[in-house]
Amino acid sequence: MIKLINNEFIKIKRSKLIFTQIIFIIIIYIMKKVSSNDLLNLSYNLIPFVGIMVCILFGNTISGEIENGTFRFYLTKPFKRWKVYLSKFICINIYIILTLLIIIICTSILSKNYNYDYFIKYIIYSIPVFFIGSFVLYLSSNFKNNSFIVGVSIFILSFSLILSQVLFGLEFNFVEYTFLPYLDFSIFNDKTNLLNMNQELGINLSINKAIIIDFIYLIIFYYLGCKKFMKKDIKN
Amino acid sequence: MQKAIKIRNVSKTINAKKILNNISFDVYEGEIVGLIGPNGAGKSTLMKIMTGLYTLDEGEIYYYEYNLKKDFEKAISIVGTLIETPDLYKTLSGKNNLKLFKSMFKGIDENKIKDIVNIVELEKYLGKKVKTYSLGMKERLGIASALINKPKILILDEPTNGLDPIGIKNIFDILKSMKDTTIIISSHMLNEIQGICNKIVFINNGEIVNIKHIENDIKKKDVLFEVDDFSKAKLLLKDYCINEELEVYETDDVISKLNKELILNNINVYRIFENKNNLEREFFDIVKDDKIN
Repeated sequence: MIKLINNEFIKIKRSKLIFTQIIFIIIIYIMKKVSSNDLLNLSYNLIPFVGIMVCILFGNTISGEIENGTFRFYLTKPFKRWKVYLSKFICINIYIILTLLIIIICTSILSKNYNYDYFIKYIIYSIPVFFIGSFVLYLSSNFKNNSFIVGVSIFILSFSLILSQVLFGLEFNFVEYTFLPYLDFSIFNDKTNLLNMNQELGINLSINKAIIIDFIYLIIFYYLGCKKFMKKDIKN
Repeated sequence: MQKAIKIRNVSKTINAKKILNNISFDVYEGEIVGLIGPNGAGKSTLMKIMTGLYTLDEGEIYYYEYNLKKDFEKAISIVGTLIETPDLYKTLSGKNNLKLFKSMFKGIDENKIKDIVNIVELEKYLGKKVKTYSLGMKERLGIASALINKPKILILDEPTNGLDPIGIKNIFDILKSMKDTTIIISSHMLNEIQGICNKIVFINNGEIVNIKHIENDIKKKDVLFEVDDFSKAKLLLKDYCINEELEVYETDDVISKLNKELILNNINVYRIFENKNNLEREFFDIVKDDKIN
């Protein structure tokens, strides 16, 4: 298992995108420090960016390997398929945690704010990114086209809130039990607005519900993706 | 002798089309078995199922006592595979590729790499990046990677694809030298297959159409008589001829007896050709029947 995870990281390390992303984060922080010093707000704004990076970096994690034939290497070795899938899932989550840690460390050092509450709140607000990781892996095990996978996952990440508001407007209140309204936790910042929306639409959006639903869908997509992967024929 | 591979009632359906239908055969320890059949017959599908690339819909495969479906890790750990073109990391050297393959298995000695490299004769090129290798070298490195876990069973799907005659000979020489390994190989190189295999499994339209035991037939020869009086000779050898020609498939003793009989009946025998392409003939018979149907 550790060998498989290590191998995943070897593949990621080759990606220039990782270094570009780290440099981008650092530059953004330096620029923000010079201009307004509102680094806490910046760190929250970077959460969707981490989600997009997950979509781009891991959109081809299964489909791409099937396409270029490298999967034959793993799947003819003594590793059960669920372990290969789990190693990819763990790798995505380690990547997310490390990236979030870089952001938290940059924020804490540059703003000289070592607040525990900020750390906890930041991790909670990042939960949708972990969901996206599972969702991207699911798409990658189900579809061949990398561009489609990246496009769909970024679209869902970027427009889920707008989409859910449109559906709420059409009185499709069941949407509150889907993951759509819970991919951007910034809606929970303005509590008065949230209360009004809940009363107006007859729904009950809350951060606790968001955490639970995101985790439930994370597990559902993990399970469905893994099940599909275990039955997949590797043709290339 | 112990059965190394047991294939029982294996069937596979892809996109509602039955690619394999009730395939069953055994391979004994140390045997080399050739899978022969036209393109699309189901050879590669069977091999992909045997190596875990395709899921097994119906039936069972055993490698010694291990069931491929239930004990996948144990079963596949005694198998070396090379499916079509080898999966190599082109930017790494041959040696680093082998190290990477080695890291996937438990308890493989570092010296094992040297031994394998000697077998496939790649010592000189091991430090070079794989992208600089010729196709033949890549195939040899592919075989080396398949051997890295000291497999008891080797599964090779068209390992000579795209190779020149020297490359093909090298690969078959390597396979011949591996005495204790059970090998199952598919290839369109029928003469070479016939030269190294103990058993040939003919597959067509996803079904086994014949299993030929080469060892049992080794004393028989396929010969063609060239004579002056064809019709008289044909009448005389009618019980022995295997086709419309004066072609017989018999042991040396019988061939000699038939030759004497022809001469005693005043038929001049100009030449006796030995046809070494039995397998090719059988292959074309299978394909021909298929095309007629």
